[in-house]
Amino acid sequence: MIARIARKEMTEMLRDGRFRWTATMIAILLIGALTTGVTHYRRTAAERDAAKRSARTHWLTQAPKNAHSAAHYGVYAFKPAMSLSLVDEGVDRYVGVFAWLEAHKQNDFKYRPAQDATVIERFAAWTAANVLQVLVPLVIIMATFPAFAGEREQGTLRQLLATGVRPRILFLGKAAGVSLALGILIAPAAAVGVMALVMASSNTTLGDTWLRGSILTLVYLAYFTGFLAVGLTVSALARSARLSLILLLAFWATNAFVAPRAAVDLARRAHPAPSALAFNLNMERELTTTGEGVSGKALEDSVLRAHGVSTLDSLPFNFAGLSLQRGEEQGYRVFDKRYGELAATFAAQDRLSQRLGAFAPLLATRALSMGLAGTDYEQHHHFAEAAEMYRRGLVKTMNDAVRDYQRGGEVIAVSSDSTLWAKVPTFDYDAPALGIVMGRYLWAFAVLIMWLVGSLALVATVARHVSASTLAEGVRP
Amino acid sequence: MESTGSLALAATMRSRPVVVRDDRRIRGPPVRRHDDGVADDCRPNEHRGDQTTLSLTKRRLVELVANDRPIDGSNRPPAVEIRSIVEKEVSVSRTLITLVGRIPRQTRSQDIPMTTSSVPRGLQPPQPMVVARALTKRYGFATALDELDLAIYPGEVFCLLGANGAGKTTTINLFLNFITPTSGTACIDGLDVVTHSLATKHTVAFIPEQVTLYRNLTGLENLEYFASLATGQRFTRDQLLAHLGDAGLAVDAASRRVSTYSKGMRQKVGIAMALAKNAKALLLDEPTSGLDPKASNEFSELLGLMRTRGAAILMATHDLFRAKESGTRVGIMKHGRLVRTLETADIGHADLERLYLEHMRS
Repeated sequence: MIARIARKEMTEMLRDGRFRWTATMIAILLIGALTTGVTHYRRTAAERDAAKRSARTHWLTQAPKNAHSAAHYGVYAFKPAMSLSLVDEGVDRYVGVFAWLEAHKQNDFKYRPAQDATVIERFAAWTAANVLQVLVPLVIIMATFPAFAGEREQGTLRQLLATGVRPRILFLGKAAGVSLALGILIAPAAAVGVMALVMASSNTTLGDTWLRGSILTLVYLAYFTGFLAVGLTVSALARSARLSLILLLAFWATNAFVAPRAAVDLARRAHPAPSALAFNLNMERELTTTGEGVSGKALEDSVLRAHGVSTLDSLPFNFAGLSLQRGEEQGYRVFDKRYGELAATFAAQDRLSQRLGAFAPLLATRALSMGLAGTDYEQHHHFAEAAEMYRRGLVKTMNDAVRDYQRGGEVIAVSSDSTLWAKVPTFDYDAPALGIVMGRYLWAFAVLIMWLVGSLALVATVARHVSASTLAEGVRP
Repeated sequence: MESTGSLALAATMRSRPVVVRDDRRIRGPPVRRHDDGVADDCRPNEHRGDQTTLSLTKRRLVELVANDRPIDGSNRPPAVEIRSIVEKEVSVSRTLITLVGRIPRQTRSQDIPMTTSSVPRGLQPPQPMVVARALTKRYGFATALDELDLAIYPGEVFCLLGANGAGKTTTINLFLNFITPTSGTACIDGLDVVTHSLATKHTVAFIPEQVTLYRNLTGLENLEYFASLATGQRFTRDQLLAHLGDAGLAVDAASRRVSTYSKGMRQKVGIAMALAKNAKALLLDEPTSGLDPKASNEFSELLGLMRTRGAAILMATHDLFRAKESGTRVGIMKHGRLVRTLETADIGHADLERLYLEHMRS
């Protein structure tokens, strides 16, 4: 019986021109986004590899020079992309995927307030994740809004109910029918997606990609199922197809556009983050003030006193190297404190946003999607920290070289020791393991499960308790 | 259901109440039914008037059957003779034709007692299929239907006449349980439609003024869908085409999409649904309005087909001519009340129209 209803719903939907057009367009958009995603991914992956290699070669083959100059010369650090990032670009677009690492400054990562990116900008970057998060729910709504309300208006619902079919069976049949029709339309895009992922993954990462991909699929299925359930419920209770459509579109727009914006505003209000300008100004001021006292005369005096000598030239090492490193370390404290605060603020904003997902499932789904694709803010931050640690190692190696190799009063000494460059290891970044990422998104998981279970419970309650007479007429407001 | 099959003599004058569950597929509260298969609340309220004539005729019929020989020098078999007598006995409900049709051969020569309650099962008059008892529907202060009493037997076509808003459609919606009665009961095949909403729907077929179908499906697909949902059975293409054929729809039309159908063709699919469902009761809401005379006539013939198959038919209509032609009884409704019931055989077209207008004017 359920299968019979499902088959009819599917046939009807597939024969309906409007649905066919919408769904085909969505499928094309999705395939298009995936194809551009995979091309972009492959091109940038190649460029990144090349850049990484050449940067390393440049570093190793740089001409003999003052080691500190070398630290200023710096290196690029590249954030490796996971293959799932072709599905969801996440915040990469806004925070960048590489950093310029040089002496004195923790820089070049744009720490704009996290979700500064507006909804409009999101449209500019049309990724598969956008299609899945925003447009597929729209198609589900288009398919479900007339499920009962439309038949009620046409008059077929009365005839259907006059056959003595159970409302519950009707609900199940209609749900199955819509799912099948959508499945047929999304299948090609899904196939393209799987192919793209397999092509983008190396042998070593393929297993991880499969696992992440499967979880991602489940996340999106839960997200979609909720829309299906809500769509059917509204359609069963709304008196007219028009009312059903309006209610569902309002919910869709709230979820897709209003809620993300509101979540950002709420999160910002609850956990205000400084603007990029104010942050940089403050940092600079703080660096100057704390720098005083540890550099210059005070440091000189204390070092001379400690070694029992009267001039810098009599020291057993080059004072400049020590001074530079001290200054550097002084900066670390400021960086750690300020960037730590900022990261904590963003994390707090993120957690709030995840929780707000209870009102708009998009928030939870988006967070999980980015997390699994390795393109969320947290993983960006993880990379930024690793890069910073690498920078500190590099600068220290160079400053130590200045201290140890360049004796004498000549500060601007030239190092001819090219093995020094090789002392700095290559920057190999390991992204956090899946378990750690998932641990951060427990809230989003909980919220998504709540959305799924809640919407299913809602539709089950309505299907179980709605009488044929209520279903025939709709609920009076 | 329970009332058929057994030929054992009922031992007592009064039927005993037993508790049974109806259709096993449908879970519902157990009903107190008597062993003739009718729930307490579903016995029709006795009508005044016809009772004496009815019982007299019944007695005479039983005599005829009991004698089992040609009557009055006629060499026609008694059943045929009785039929013709009954046709003449205008005040007798057509139900009795069915009664006679159902008398098993071997019991005919036996002495048959005179009271119905001790008549063997097979001889008992059929129970009314569609029953309303003081059925009332109010919306706030407005009374859409006021204490309707009605009993329609298998093989009967009861036509509800009346102006718009007289309560005809309300009556049908109440029988379909699309609306809930304010008071009183509506029963189909001995079951209350409110407590047995789904079970009763398996017995009835509903044909609205406009049979609405899924435009993107063919007539055949529509029939298949509705028929399989109604019966839970699978139908072969040939079976479905046969039903559509019986309903008068051409084979080539059956595989066209319904969006190209005329109203008459849609109504035919509606009839085919009722045929496929093998409905014991038909609820028709102005099914012929807007049909051209030929299509309307075809529709009436189809009603005749359903009637000979033993369906009890309740039809709301504005068409006095159609009501007289295809109805066995007509009821005139006004402001939610059934003000007059007539046997169509008793009355000519002109008289029916005159009566109707009288009631409308008064």
